[in-house]
Amino acid sequence: MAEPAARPGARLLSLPLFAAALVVVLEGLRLGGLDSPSSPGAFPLLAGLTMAGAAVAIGLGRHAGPADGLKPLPGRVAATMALLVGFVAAMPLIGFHPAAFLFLAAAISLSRRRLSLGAVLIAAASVAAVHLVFRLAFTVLLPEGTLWR
Amino acid sequence: MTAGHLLTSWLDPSLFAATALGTLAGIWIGAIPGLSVTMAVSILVSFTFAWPLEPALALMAGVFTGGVYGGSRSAILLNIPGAPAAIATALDGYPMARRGEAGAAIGLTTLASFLGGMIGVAALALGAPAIAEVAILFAPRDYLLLAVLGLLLVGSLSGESLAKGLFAAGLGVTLGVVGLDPMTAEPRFTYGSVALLGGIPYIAAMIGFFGVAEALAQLRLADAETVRQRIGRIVPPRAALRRHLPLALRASGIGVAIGALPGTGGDIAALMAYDHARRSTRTPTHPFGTGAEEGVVAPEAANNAAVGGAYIPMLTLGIPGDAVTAVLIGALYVHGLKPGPMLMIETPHLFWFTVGNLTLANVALLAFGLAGARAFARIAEVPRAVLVPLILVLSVVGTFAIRNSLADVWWMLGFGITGYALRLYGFQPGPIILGMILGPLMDASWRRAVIAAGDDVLGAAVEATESAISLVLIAAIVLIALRSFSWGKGRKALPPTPHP
Amino acid sequence: MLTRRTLGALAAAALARPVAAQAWPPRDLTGIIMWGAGGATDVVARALTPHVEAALGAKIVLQNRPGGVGAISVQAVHAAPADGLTLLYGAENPQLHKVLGLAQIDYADFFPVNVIARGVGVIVANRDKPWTGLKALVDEISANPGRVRMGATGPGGLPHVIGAMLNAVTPVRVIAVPFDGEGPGLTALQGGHVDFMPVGVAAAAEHIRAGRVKPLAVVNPEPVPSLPGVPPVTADFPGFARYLPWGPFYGVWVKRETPAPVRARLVEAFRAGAANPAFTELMARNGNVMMNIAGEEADAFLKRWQSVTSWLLQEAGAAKRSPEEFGIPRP
Repeated sequence: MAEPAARPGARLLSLPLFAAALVVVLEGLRLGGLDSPSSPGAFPLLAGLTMAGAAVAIGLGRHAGPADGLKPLPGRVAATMALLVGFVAAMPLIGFHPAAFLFLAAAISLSRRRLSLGAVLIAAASVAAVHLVFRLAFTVLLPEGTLWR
Repeated sequence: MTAGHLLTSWLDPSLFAATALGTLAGIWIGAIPGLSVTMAVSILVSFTFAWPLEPALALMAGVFTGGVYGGSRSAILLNIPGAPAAIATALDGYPMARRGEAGAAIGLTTLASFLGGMIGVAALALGAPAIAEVAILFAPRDYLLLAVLGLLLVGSLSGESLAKGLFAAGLGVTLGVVGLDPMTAEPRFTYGSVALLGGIPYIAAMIGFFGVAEALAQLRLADAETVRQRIGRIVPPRAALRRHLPLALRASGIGVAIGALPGTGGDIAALMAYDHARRSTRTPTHPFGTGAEEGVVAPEAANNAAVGGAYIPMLTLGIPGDAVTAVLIGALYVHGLKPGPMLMIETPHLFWFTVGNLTLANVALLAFGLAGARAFARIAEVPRAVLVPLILVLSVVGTFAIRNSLADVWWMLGFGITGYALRLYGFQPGPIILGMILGPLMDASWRRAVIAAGDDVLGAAVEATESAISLVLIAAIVLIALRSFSWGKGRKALPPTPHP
Repeated sequence: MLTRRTLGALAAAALARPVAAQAWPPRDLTGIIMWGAGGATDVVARALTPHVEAALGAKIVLQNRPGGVGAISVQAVHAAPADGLTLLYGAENPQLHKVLGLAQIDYADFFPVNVIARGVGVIVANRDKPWTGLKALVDEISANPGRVRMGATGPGGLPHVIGAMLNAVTPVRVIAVPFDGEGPGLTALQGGHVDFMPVGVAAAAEHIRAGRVKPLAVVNPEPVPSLPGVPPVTADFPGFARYLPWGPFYGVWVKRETPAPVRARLVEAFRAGAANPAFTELMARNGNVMMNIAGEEADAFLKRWQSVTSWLLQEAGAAKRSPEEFGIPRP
């Protein structure tokens, strides 16, 4: 473990990568990757083997990732991720417009560390702009929410 | 006489307006990730249904030209390619914006796109029939070789570690072949899910790995200063133009060729031109990956040249050169024409009308591109606290818009969060997207080539040695592979792609 | 043009007067197209819909949801409420999903609002080949079994089915090279990468007219007007007759459980739209045979098509599940 600036788990990372490669190899074999050079599994098998080899090389290698002295997952990023997942989960239920509005207002306030009228206004204007471009111009049927049916 | 139709769209005010408006709308459509030119043009088919043919075609040509260019805007300003053809542009365009040179990057892209676009139109006007005849000679094995040539780009896109790049490329190939195998109707990696039968759109992956992962990574630095943009000069100095002209011309050539091939389009053209720039430029303005001007000139010249290229087989043979021209062929049907090899013989004015129209669209692109650059560059100055949530909402709605699928949105989110984590460990998103774009092409071309030779790899190899096109492609691969080997010794000297 | 459409709308409104459907539709309809932008199904859908909108007095928002040979769209429309507001614009493919092991839903679960038109197949060859007719091609295949290359589009596609018919009529062994669609296949045919290909007349007509590919026979009991002088397959191989007429088709469906007044309203609107002269002219020009049928008549057509094709694939050994399992009767 002499490499510089090792991130926690840099070496351990190669294990899930190798596991992922194995899943790909197995699917390649299931699809007859070895039976015929033109089988549907031939390329997945090749891709899987490349991934497996690369995963081994990564595990043995010295590159841990760039060190920038910042926390890998600051609270603000984690909170935004959670809000984002909540937004997408709520979208089919309450509809795109309210979900996006709430997400924007919350995420902007969170980053600014204060609740402000500005955040609410930006959120409302953005949702209106998205509606204009996507729903009206591009006739994308944004989810309307099953709750209001 | 028919060549006189070149000027139709310049002289008729309504056609002039349709082309210019189309180009302007196209720039915005291209800049918004998830709004694609293909989508816009197919909506226009219904929208212009009752119109006469000419204004409908003018509007679509404008949207096509503007849209291919517009993708570079968000790539430069936000590191989020607005369209797949702008992925390569982000690699050096965004570092330029981080240096406060967003205005210069946009100016350079605009000129490169204009030049590429004009060369594409020139190739269409002067060489269309001959180029189309060569393009259809490309056999499945040649598409395979072309894809291999593109895959050599992994070396340039991997950042600090080739192993990580190879893993990412393998992952991309795997993601690219998820779904129903088009050749045997065998489901791959679907594990019983009907939603997965249709595969994972690579635009969803692109928005996830570039858009969401990038936005989250920027939030990590939210306390850092926003970069003040120096926007005094948009039009690049004459010396810079002279310096980049030869590269832009070569990249345009790549763009025309790849665009004219029926199986490939602007996205692959831009990536291959970027690779070419990287290999052929000895002393870039900055090292590649840290804001080399060459790194934005080449892909942008190529993807706009591919527009003219894609029209070549469409207008001469009725064979679409890419996804957008496929929709344009449908539009011709709807308007009562018979797109096919006789189109040029029976309605030659349509050919010259299109040539004149595309020229006009490129001029409009130059005007709108330069005029709007200053205001656009300011987007890079919007505080991250506001910009990042907006990008995230746009990513969600853009992904949903691809096929109106919530499952795609979840995939995109998964890619975004995984991408954020992988970035921390020095993985680059480029090879994943490259794998997703080239993987299905390689898989299908390889199998087609082998099947055509009677399920015999050796037979397919022998056939390759009997074809001039295949031999040229093989020679190119060997040459580039050999040169990157010697270049590989010096690669330690290359700084890793910087982390935002 | 505008006045004609307005007149059409008025006429349709006068015809369609089911009392319960007066207030219907309450909002815009959604039309889900099972193939991608620019494909044949897409072109038919986008050319037809404006005429139907005029007759219906409401907008139909079209979306392409390709993937899984149509299975994705079928699933999506099947999952939507049976209120007639979600339409499926499709082609023949779902009728084979069961035997190809792709999905358990087919058009039996939907009500045919309109089977718009059907296409006709034609067997074309590379223009440099010496063959003057289908017989010559079959002779060459028999002399060199497993060497002649046929362009295809994957299981259940038109080339595959017509290839299976040919094989059932006279045993032939060819290399089938699958492409992403009829267009790419025809491109490869012109480049000499395959030797012959069965395709839809719509895709091949212009290439034939320009002399870039050579027509050998139309897969129809009699010659078709858009390809004068091309003999029907039955001329050389009368055995084909038992499968014909056969061809791909385009149509519009809603869920089977949709209320009867709504169905009736949609059927009227689509019947009026598909009868529009501009549209029928477009379809004829593309070598399609207009059908414009709905309800029971369409159901009977769909059933027969499924029975003929499924059993053909079963006999050719291309079906993953036997049609018997699904109660599909023998033709």
